[in-house]
Order: sequence, then structure tokens, then C-alpha cells
Amino acid sequence: MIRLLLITLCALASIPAHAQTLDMDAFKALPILHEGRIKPIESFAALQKKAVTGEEKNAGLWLAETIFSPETAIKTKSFTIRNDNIKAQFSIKTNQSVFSYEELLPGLEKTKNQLQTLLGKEQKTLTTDEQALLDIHEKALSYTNLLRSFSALTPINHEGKKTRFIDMRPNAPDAQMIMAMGMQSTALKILPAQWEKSLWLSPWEMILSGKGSPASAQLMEKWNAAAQAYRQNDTRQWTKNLSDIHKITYEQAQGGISKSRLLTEQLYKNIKPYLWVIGLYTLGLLAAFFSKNKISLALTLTAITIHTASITLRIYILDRPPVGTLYESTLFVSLICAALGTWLFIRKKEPAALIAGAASALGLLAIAPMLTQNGDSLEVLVAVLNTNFWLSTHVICITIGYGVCILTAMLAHAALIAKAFNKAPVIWLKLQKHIHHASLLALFFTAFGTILGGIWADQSWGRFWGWDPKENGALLIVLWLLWVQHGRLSNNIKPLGFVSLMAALNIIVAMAWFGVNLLSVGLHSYGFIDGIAEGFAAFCILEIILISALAFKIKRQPS
Amino acid sequence: MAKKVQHPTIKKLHRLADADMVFWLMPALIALLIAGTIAQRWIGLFRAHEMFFSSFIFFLGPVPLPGGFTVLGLLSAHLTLKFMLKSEWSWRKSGIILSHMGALILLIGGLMTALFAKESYMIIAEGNQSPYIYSYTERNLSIFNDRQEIARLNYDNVKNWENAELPFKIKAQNWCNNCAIEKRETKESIAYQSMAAFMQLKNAPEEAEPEANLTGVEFEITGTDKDGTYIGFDGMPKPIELTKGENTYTLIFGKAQEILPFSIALKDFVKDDYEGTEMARAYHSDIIVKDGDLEWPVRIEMNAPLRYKGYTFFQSSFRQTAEHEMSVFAVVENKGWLFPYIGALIIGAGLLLHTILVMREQKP
Repeated sequence: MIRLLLITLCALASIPAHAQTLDMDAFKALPILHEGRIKPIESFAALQKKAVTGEEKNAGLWLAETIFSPETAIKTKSFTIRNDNIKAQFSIKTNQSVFSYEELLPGLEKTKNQLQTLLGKEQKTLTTDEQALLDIHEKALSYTNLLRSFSALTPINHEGKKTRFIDMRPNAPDAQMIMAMGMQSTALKILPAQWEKSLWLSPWEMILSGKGSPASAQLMEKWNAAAQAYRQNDTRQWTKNLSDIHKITYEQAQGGISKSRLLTEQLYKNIKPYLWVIGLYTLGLLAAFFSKNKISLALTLTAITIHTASITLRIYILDRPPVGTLYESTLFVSLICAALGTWLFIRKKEPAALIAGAASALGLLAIAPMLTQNGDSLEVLVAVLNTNFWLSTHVICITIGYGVCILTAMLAHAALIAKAFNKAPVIWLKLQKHIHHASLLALFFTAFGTILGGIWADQSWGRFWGWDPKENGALLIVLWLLWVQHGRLSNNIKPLGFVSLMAALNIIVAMAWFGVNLLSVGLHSYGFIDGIAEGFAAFCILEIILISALAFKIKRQPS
Repeated sequence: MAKKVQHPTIKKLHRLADADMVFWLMPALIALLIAGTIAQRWIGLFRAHEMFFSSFIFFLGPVPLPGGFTVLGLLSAHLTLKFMLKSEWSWRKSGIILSHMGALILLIGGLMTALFAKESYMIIAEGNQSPYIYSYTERNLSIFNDRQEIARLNYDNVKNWENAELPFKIKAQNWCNNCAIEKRETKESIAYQSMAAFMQLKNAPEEAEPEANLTGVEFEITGTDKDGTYIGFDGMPKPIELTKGENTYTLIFGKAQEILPFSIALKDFVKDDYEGTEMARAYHSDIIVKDGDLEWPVRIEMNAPLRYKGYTFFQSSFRQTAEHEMSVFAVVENKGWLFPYIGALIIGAGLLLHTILVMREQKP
């Protein structure tokens, strides 16, 4: 097996790669079809590299080496293994944690018989070692398929002379084997559809499906020439071939690619706006703590501008409203918190609002990266969500509601802290008024959003209300707000209770927003993610302790 | 002036109309909502719905708590009485009055839906036409004489099948909401007929969603030419053929079906995937509605159902086989469907008005 594998990978082992001197920008901008949309190859590279190696730095270069120069790529140390039992099983150095594909090959070969048994088991019954073994095989498999992307076009040593799969007779020795290995190489969909109703395909898919044409053959030869130029470090040929590939691909896609969208996506990925935004909110928050309100306002406003711009870029890249996934909802809700807090500060001269807004935005942006599926932050949507009308009404309304709720809760936190540590009593009274107003606004957006959601459910599932967990979550926020408001009105809830219960709104929102996903039941399954249970529980417990402690301290103050 | 003495009932009504009733009822509703949501993880939506939301009382361990009907009923009563006895009909309070009125309309709509809505499904292959819809949960034993349905015995009433007025006797002996089958070892003296000759039904734990249950009944038939014990079972929908003298009878056990006052023909079902993936971007079914001499084309797609004669058809699922594609529609008959739309509009308007009024009032 290893011999067969190496035939297709290492036939060119004598050729060194000096990719560092080649211009990678043209390569990174080439279009590719991946996960249902055309994106720059740089985005594809980042996702692939993250899936295989766990990080996405220099992903373009990594992908170029993997697909163009597999013989050197397999010597690059890029697989991280920390599990000592796996290291022992693979007979690799235990004092090292990063390995090359070549070093792993014997171990992969040795353990492949265990896979069938492991795949038959239920995931939750797997031990840590078994899961680690499955993971490493899964990564190796995607990597192998990438390595073989151009193996049909690469010359290999065959019966004493150099030849390519596409030039071989079908019954030639090894031809069947090379084909069987190439069949799985479907990720690199770089060749536009050649016929009506056909799709973008990878080189191997194009060759084996018979859906190619002279035009696609021409494009494939250009890719092959680029691969050669890469291996020979021929700058002139590299630049020329990439420019040809670019031109031919756009021609063959017949207007199916938006160049400006691809450029925007590259820009978005490269400037990493959220790192800037997080930095600015942090500085704004620090300035506010030291009562430098004007500086804080300037920093927060700059952050809000970049934050808004980056959401606008996402709308343009994905060509849909900004909130369709759990990840996107955190980006949007954090913007609402920051914007509303800042507005309150400007209107009411309330520094606590500025702090509450920036702090909530910061907290939400910090957890956002944990909420992406497979690290992809620019995803396409499942069919039921694929409706611009409801995404831009119900979803926007309910997420604005979440934002206002969080700001209300943070204002309540600020009020409790101020009161507990004996700040001027006037702050306590002023903040109560702001909390009351903000909670009315929160009630408006969450109630209206929930009802709009019911109407959407009636349109798509045939019932206005089905007691589905996500629906119940939204209703829970509305009921909580109604309860506290009515308690305040009827004097059953005193000011301290009112502020404390509004502070607890954070927990209620977390339950509705993330908690219901943990149940993994119901029709809203498209929002489910794994691995947030502990974080969610810790957050709820800490909030309860904090609010109770502050309320207890205030209660014990002499009146 | 002496205070007017109120009748105790009126006093109680006044108490129920007080604003703090919401304060006392809301925690009950919140507890119900949380319990009913978390329970779905283990018992599924349908049973959680029955146990918590469509009930008067539910038990949290040994503690009895008010169920959905009780809490929502009290809330509706409170809202109605509040309008009659307590509301201050002024411009200042108009937002509050509107939003409460909207909430009451929503609750009435909810009651209508709970009482009258019926959910069924239709499954139809491309090129075919059908007037039949099937219940997700209800099972029947239908008895046909020369293709004419002469009786329909409901599974919910299985114990009383023996009392049905039929040309022969049917007595249910053993039944299970969700059955497993096992090989019948002993035949004893009873004549086991048809499927019952080689298999018997065994009670199995119920599925979370009732439509996934395989319901079955073993029943004894007497008074025909071929008496004995028969089996009707969801998992093996095989008609039972019987004769009595000149008459032939066919017995079919399965999901309850209903005939619509019109038919649906499926011209084409299309699943549109994101390029290069198996993930659907959208689905739609091109159908023709045929009602008497009239017929017209309609497209049913995600978020765009067909509403006709009180029935609403939604694209809920599909099946692809080697031969053809089949479309599955959820069919809902709900007389209260308009209430949420009206209620929503009124609540939205009321909340907006109230927020504006409060903010203006607070201005110095």
C-alpha cells in the first residue's frame, strides 16, 4: 500500500521546491467551488489547513506545496499528535509532537485495520485514544486526497519511463490502482462546469466523470504547467500560467464568478477586522474605567464603525442578510450592545452605559470564534433559512432583542456594583430608570421578534407555535421581562429585586440563545453546536453567584 | 359614604383582574416552559407537549404543578376581567391596553388551535394524483365490503371493538402502541391466520415521536368462513381478506386516512442543492390542484405553502427512490390560523405605542 501511494507522490522527489520566492497573491485569488459557494482559493486553503494541522497561518503557501509538490509536502512537519498512546502505537518519537505525513505513514498503515471496528461504534462509547486514532486517520485522509489533486497529470516513473495517468492505456499495469486512489480526490473543485446542468469539478472528477471538454483540458494543462513552474521555481512561467488560469476560469464560468466578491472576501480574511474591533473595545473600556470618557467614546465609536463595516462586508460577500448562523448572531448582537450603550451615553451622559455596551460587545466577540462549524465563518444556509425576507425581519428583530436584553442586564450589573460599593445614591436611581426603559425596548423587540418567528413557523411548518425548544427559549425571555415588569408595577418586586432580576436576564438570554442548542432536539437543529455545555454552565453559575453576592451586600447596608 | 359591599364572587373576580395576578401566574408559566422544554430531550416533543402544555396538571417528581391549560386559562381569564373591571381607558394607557388585547387574541387563537387543529400528511409520487391525507398519530382498522368502506374502528377505542355493529365479530386480544415482532412458537388450539400464523406482537418501548411507533393489534374474528386470530400491524401493512357466504371483506389496519374535497397531482419535485454539495438550497413541488372541473397549477416551496378550503399544504420532506421522487406535504387544518396574525399586529402596535408614550412622559 505504501509503495503504491509513494508511486504517485514521490516520483519527483529529486526536485526541490523553492516556493518562497514565487508570488503567491495571484494563486490565492483564484476561484474555487467549496461548501456550496465560489470563494478565493485562499479561503479554501485556510479551512483545509486548519482541518489538517489545526492552524491557518500561511495557508496559501501550504496548499500550493501540498497540491503542486506533494513529494516535498509529505516531509513537512504539519501533523500535531499529543496523545502518547498514539505515538507509541505509531512508533514515533514521544518527545516530539509535530510530525510529517511521511513519518506517520507506517503508523497509519499499521492501524488501518482498527478503523472498521471503531467506525462501527457509537461516538460516545469511544475512548480518548480511539477518538484520537480516528481523528488522525480522518486528517490523513483529507490530506492524502489533497496531495493527489493533480496525480492524474503528474509524470510518474512507469515501466522505466516517465508517463502520466491521462496518457496511459486503461489496462496498463498500475493504471487502475492510480485511478482508484485519485477517485477520492474531490475537494479541489477548480474547473468550471463545461455543460449545462453540470458542476464545478476537481481534476480527477473531470477526468473520471467524462464531463470534460477541450476547454477544460486546456485549463487542466495550464494548472499542470503552473505545478511544474512551482516545482522548478520558475517565476516567469508561474506568473504567466496563473494569469492564464485566472483568465480562462473566468471565461469558462461565463459570468458565474463575482470578482469583486472574491476580492472583498480576501480583504475581509486578511485584515481580520474583528481583532481590530476587539482591541478598540478593550482600549475604550480601559479609558472609561479611568474616567477618560471622551477618549473612550472616540475609541468605541471607531470600533463600532469598523464593526459595522465588517458586517456590511459579510452581507456583500454572502449576498444575504447578516444573521444566518449562531456565529453571525454573536457578531450582530455585540454590535447592537455597543451601539445602544454608546447612544445611551451620548443622550443621557451615562458613563455606565458606555462601559456596559463595550464590555458586552467584547465578551460576545471573544466567544464568537467557538461558534463556527469547522472554523468556517462564511457559511451557506440550510433551505428553511434561505429566505431573505424572514432573515431580515424575524431574525434581525429577535437578535436586536437579545442585544438590548444583554445591555439591560449589563446596566443592572453596573447599578448593583455601584450600589454595593457605596457610590452616590443618585447613580442607583438614574440607572434604575435607564434599566426600566431599556427593558421596555427589549420587551418590544423580543416579543415582536418571537411573534414574527411564529408567523414564519406558520408559513414554513404549518403551525404558529409548537413548543419547540428554540421557540420556548425566545418566549422565556419575553415571560421573564413581563414577570419582572408586572412585579415592579404591582409593587411585589422592590427596586433591589428589580435590578437583580434584570441582571439575571443575561442567564435567561444565554439559555434561549445557546442553552436550547444543548438539548439537540426540535426543528431548529441547524443551530446546534457541540462543546459549549461546560462554558454555558460555568457562565450561569458565576452569574448567579455574582448577582446574589452583590444583592446580599446591598441588602446588608444600613438604609 | 359607606363603601359598597361587594358580593364575594365579584370580589374574587376583582382579585383575578389585578395586575399582580400576572406576577403570580408568570413564574408558573416560566417553570412549565423550562420543565416542558428540558423534558423534550428525553421524551420527545409530542409527549412533552401532551404532558406539560396540553394538560391541566403535571408532576415535577411528587409535586403537582399547574399544566398549560390551567395557567393559560387563568391568564386569559385575568386579561378578560382586567378589561371588564380594571382597565383605565385613556390615551396614556392605550399602548398597554392594545398589547394586552393582542395577547388575549393570541391566547384565544392558541385555544382554537389546541381544540380544532388537525395535522396530517400527504405523500405523493411524481406523475401521480391523490385525494388522501394520513394522520401522523391516529390508527384505524377499516373494513371494506366490495371496495365500499362499511366501518372504521379506531385504535384508541380498541378495547370496545367487540361492541361494533358488524356482519361478524372482532375482539381485540392484545395490542401495543409500539410493537416488536417475534416468531410464534406454539399454536395451541386457536387458529392463527395469515401473518398471525408465524408471528406475534410484543410490547416495545414507545418512540419519542408517535409517528415512529409501529402500532399493532392481535384480534379474534368470529362469524366468517375463516375464523381465527389475525394481526394488524403498521410494520407490515398487508390487507386481510375474509369471506362470509357471498360477501367478501377486506380489513386494512394503518394510519387513519381522510379524503380531501379535492385532489393534488404532483407534476415535479425539485431539490436544488448548493453546487458541489448534497446540502439543499431549496425544495419545491409543482402541483396541480383539481377540484371538480376546475384545475390550476401551484408551486409549494419552503416558506410558501398552499392554502385551500381550510387546508394548508407545506413542503415538509421528500423521498428519492430508484424509480421516482416523492414529495411529502404536511397538511394542516386549522381554523385559528388567522388569530396570531391579528394578535401579532395589535401587540406590536401596542408595545411600540407604549414605549413611545413612556419615553415622552419621562422627558423633562
